[in-house]
Amino acid sequence: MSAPDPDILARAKAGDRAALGALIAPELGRVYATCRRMVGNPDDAAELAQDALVRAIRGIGSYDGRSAFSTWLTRVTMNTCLSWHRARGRRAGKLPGPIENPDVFPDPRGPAEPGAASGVQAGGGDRALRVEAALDRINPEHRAVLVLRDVRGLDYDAIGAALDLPLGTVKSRLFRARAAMRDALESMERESGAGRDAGHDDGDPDA
Amino acid sequence: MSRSEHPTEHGPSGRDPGESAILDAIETPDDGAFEAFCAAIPDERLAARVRAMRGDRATLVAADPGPAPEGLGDWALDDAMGALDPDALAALEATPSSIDGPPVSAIQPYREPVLARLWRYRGVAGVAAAAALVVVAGIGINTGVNTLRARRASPAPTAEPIAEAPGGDVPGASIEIAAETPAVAAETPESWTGSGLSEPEAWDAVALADVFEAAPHLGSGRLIVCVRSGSASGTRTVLERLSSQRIGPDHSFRVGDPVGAGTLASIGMPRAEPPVIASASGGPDRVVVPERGAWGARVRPTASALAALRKSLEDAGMAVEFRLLAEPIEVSALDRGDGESVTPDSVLWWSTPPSSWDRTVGVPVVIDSLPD
Repeated sequence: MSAPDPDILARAKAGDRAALGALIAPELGRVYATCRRMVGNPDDAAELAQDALVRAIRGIGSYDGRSAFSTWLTRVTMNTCLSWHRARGRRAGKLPGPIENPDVFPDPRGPAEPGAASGVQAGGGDRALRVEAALDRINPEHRAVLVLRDVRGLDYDAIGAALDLPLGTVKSRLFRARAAMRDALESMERESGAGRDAGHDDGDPDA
Repeated sequence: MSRSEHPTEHGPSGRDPGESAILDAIETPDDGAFEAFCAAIPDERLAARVRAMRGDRATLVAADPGPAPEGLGDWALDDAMGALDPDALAALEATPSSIDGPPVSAIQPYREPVLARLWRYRGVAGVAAAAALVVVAGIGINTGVNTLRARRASPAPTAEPIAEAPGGDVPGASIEIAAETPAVAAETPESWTGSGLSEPEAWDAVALADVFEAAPHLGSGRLIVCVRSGSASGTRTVLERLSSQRIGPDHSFRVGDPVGAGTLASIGMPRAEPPVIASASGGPDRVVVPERGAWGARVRPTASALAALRKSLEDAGMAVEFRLLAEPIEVSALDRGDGESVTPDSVLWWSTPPSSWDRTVGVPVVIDSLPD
């Protein structure tokens, strides 16, 4: 990724619709993918993607062209998504900001419950859905670094630029994010197992 | 793959790996290297967890979030650049139209009067009502003062100055005599001052040296301005001119209406020795009794304001002197101008910009004028 053509950028800053369209067209898929993984719901994702693009278009004057346009747009997009999460948290009566400190060091082996560290993986055809559901269970800051790394494929430097984090923090937060998602999946697996057990009990009263 | 991303180079050797090494192992595309890394982890639970996290990542990377909605870019551009698309406007411009000029609605917008809009706000309405009451009260006070002054003005010449007039002049004759005596015009305030106010033994009021001595006493009720004038009509003209507008830098003073006879009497100012006017027709010399009156001047409580007042009076041919009474005189709120009472004067000042609103104090200006 490189800086955009100076002429296109100049025309875009002057409000040229065609130039603005040329700038954002290659980024539409990435912006939507980011939003889709950050919020989970396709409708919300489309709305957020549009909101992020509008912010970027209106704020194009603040883009100095020294970094890749994609990196700058990713930052705008991620800020839009995080703002959405914080607003949703306020509406739900939660405090704004992360629910937990995203940089607190977890036990790499996972929860201490017996059997919890069994490496249980979501299986079958619903694995992708389970991973997506697990993303919804972790806090937005962990989710952001996971999305940028695994969905967008950004390197650590680009993630740091997008989230305004130093490199060391990016790596440690990514490790905690992976651990958090694993915990979420295992928790979902336990809940699912408990449900199945309850269903068996209900379905076989003579057992 | 960089060195830091190769898990085997960070492989565990008898103890659990760090998070950086685990991260690198999870993301390595080399399955063989990853398995070797996991096999070397002593803690089997940790090894299983690392394998699971690698699987989670693979699932997330492979999951397709789907394509961006059709028209996403156009939506954003329309939203960001407003609903008026230049192309659409150009198309509208090219469309033939029978209407020349911009469309004009046939419905005339209703514009609520400004007073009605203000009245809808209770706070403004309250202030307006209070202001109306104050204006009405002020007009009443002003009318009352003028009426009282008019009632007292007619008996005064017969009761006070004329009774004291020596030489057997009839009441009211002073003005008539003055009118008949051209020599009055030759009298100047300077020539008259010596026989007028210089009677400290008869009047317990200290003469002050200048405005700087006088200014600290503004508002005390003890300060008065004593003026001698060589022409009654000229004095009235000057006072009318001064009372029609605020004078001096920053509207520092204003001469108001004449104060009541009670205030004038409370000053206790002794009457000066009347000057003897030579008859122009060769007859006996005539004694002229000065006309005395007092006006309430409103002055900002500063020396500069007092100086402006004095200069205006001196420029009109008057001799001015500041005096300090032994006791404060009983003056009305109009005279005292203590800034707390609502007076007609203060109400009128509301019509000026707020920047000109300031505390003023009342000072009696006592004038002895020779009749014309």
